Amino acid sequence: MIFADTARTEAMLDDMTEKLRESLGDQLESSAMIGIHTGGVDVASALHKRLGLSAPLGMLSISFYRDDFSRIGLHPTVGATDLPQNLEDRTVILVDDVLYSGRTVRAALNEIFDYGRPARVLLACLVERSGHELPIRADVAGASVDLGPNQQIKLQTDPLMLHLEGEPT
Amino acid sequence: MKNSILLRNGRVIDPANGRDEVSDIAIHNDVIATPDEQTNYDLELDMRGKILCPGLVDLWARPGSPSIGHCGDIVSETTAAAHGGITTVCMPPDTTPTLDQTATVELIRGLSRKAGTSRVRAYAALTRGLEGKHLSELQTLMEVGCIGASQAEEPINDTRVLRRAMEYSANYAIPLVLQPCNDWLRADGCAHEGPVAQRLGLNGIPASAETVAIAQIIELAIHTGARVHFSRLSTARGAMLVKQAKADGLAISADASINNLLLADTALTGYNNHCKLMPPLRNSADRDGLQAALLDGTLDGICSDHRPVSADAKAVPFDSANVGASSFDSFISQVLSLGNQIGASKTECISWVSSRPAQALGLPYGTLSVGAPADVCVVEPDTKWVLQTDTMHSKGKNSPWLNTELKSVCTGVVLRGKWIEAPIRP
Amino acid sequence: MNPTDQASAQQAFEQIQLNRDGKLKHFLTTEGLDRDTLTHILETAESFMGASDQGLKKVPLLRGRTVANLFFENSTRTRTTFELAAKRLSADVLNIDIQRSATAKGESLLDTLNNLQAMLCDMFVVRHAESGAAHFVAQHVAPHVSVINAGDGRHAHPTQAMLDMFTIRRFKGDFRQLSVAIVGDIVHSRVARSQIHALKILGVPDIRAVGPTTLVPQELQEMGVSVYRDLASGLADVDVVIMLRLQNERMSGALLPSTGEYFRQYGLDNRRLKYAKPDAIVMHPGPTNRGVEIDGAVADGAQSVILKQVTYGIAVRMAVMSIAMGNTAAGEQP
Repeated sequence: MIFADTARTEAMLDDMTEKLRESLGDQLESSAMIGIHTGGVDVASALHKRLGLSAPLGMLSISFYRDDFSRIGLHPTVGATDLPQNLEDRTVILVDDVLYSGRTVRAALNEIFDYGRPARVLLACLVERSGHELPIRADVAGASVDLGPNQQIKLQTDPLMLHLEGEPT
Repeated sequence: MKNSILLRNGRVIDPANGRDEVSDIAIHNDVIATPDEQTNYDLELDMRGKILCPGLVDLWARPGSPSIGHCGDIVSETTAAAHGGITTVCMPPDTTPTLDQTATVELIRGLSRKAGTSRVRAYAALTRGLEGKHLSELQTLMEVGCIGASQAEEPINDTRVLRRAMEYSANYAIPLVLQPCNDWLRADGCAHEGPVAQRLGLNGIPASAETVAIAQIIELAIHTGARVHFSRLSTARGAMLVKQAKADGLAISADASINNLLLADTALTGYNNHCKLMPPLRNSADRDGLQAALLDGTLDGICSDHRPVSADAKAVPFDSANVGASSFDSFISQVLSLGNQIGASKTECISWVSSRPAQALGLPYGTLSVGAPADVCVVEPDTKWVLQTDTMHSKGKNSPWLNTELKSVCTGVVLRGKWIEAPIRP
Repeated sequence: MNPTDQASAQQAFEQIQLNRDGKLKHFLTTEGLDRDTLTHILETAESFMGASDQGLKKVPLLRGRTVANLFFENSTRTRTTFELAAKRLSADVLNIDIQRSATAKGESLLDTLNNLQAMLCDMFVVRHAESGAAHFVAQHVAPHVSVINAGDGRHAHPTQAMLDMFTIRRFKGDFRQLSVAIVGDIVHSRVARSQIHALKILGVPDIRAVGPTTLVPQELQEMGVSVYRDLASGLADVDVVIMLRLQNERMSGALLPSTGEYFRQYGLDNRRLKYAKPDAIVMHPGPTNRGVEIDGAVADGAQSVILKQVTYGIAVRMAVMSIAMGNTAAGEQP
């Protein structure tokens, strides 16, 4: 079922844009935005356009940093890491579509720190849902929602919208 | 009467005498006798539903050769032989020490007498130490009981030495049992040269290693008049050369091993060390050619080529693994199943492992004629069993046929008039 | 298993490489693998190349795991690339020079393996002079250990073949449009065998083997290659030329009269390279014998990608090691 239609999703993105402007102020222009493959990249490019950032968008593939390697092996690789700018002493806006367990963000943070030492990392997520397994919270979220363990939010692109799958228990 | 046995109502198959009928076999002392009503036999056994045939004669097998990497001893291996229906084992001279001294031959005979479950006869080393340089004392070795002379798998690279050896043997009508293999062409090969070895990256032994040697030996046999038995042919071309020589009237005979008759080199898939054999398993056309040569009489027999190998000597990569497989335990079962596959009668099958090989080397065994040595093999033709490491009596626990079901089984033999039961291990 | 049951023997042989989900666990040969498995290796290698182009040399994927390089045959080059690949995956690396250690004291290969397993190694990279040695090791290791074949006798050298595939893909793209010629001592070459299987699996329609009968026997056709006896026809309009190293010991076995005659018949120089397509690439697994199988001007020329192959070798081995170790660990899960 539809969690958020295109209009609602666009509105959430607008809201996030505002919040980011607010919290970053004049640091915004010098900050680096990085989306996590694949959903995070889609959300990040929407935000990137809205914010009108001049620095190109970075992309992060966390395949080599996942913590479930010894449980399910190497994931089929999705996208490649592409960080066009030096992260040293910069403000990084890390973007993902859905914040759930927090493990993806943990992996992304590790990878980012292998590239350099940012001054600050801000986490922006389209949806922050219940079920966190790590002490990681979004600084900016389009929506927050309580969901059961069998439920999942899926991002659809072109046009952007969100689906809710599974039944609450 | 002292030591008399009557085997009643068995299906007597005696190819030497053209017999295949339900009948009795009587044994007095250590020879076959005519059954009669008057005798009170020491032992009477009901053999209904079983085949009674001559004890099998195996022209090439190693009943535990005490060299590195091989295992088993005369006691364990002749027990295995008896379970496979074999009462006469002919062993090659490449033991340690080499069978080029009368003392060694007598030692082997003594050990085999003591073990008592299968008769072991030896081939004398054709050259001293099998080095291919000087002749052994061949006639002396024959006088102490050798049944022929052989170079085992060692080469005689000097063709003049081979010529002299053949001339000298012809002088005393000593049969030469030769495995035809040109050593230069064999080189460091360990598998049949062809697509399978190519794919596995194994050094090949070309079919011509065998055919070149056969052609050379045939020409020298014509020249010297030697009596040659080709041991363990592996190629279809080789069998054709032998067929031609026989047609030309030469006193030549030949056999092939049960492995080469049943298997092809495709069995090496996955570096199957159980199938590392010498001569190597050839391709399926060669195997089919050997089967045809068996049916048309070109081949005189089937040998087991039993060669027990210790587990350690096989638990290494293919190229380093020792050559050999244990074939005694399942021998008669495999021979009969080969017969089934190629449409041969039971009489034919039994002739290939009794009368024909015995005749080829002039041995008195392999027949149930009255007065012949009392060697009998008892087979249950429809009893299924599975060859497993713990059902094998051989100490070499390697065989291409491990864990396969076999469809007939030997349940006992008579050796020199003595009944030896050979139950299947549970 | 009944030895005459060929299909199941072949299947068992091929499946030793896979875990119970059908994923690559040991990498022993390219033979019998499917296109998806090979493509996954190439794509993963592409990601590692991407990471290293970004300046990220090391990833934490294999942290806390131990890779043992078991080199029963000397090869500093190959061992170094495996060592580097393992280190860039954050694994601990143990280099064991077997020639000078245990087996020289009469310890069997099996004993050596058991000792290393007792030290809790997670992966064995095996180089051995005997064909089938890597299979043998894979048959005898504990279930948590993954085995990578770094060359066994004349049989297989699958990581070298995969880095060659990676090179071809980078320069030529679609495998299904290509003509590839392999020139030289194919009969003794584990590299060539693995290349032929990989090229076939990836869909190359025209694979050629070029050389004299003593080095390129006619029966190679059964592996799905076309055999050519001269360079002019063998290289005609090909996209990729793979030159193989001619070992010096081939002269002693009466396989060839001399290196001079070999170069005159089969050596690749700029004149003969013109038989191939104008944009053909020239590859060589190295080390090259200049003036024996390849002219220096070609090896250093514009069409040569020989040094690229070396660079790609690290990423490809990182891909193979992380995929195999991941699938081995995953296969261990209940």
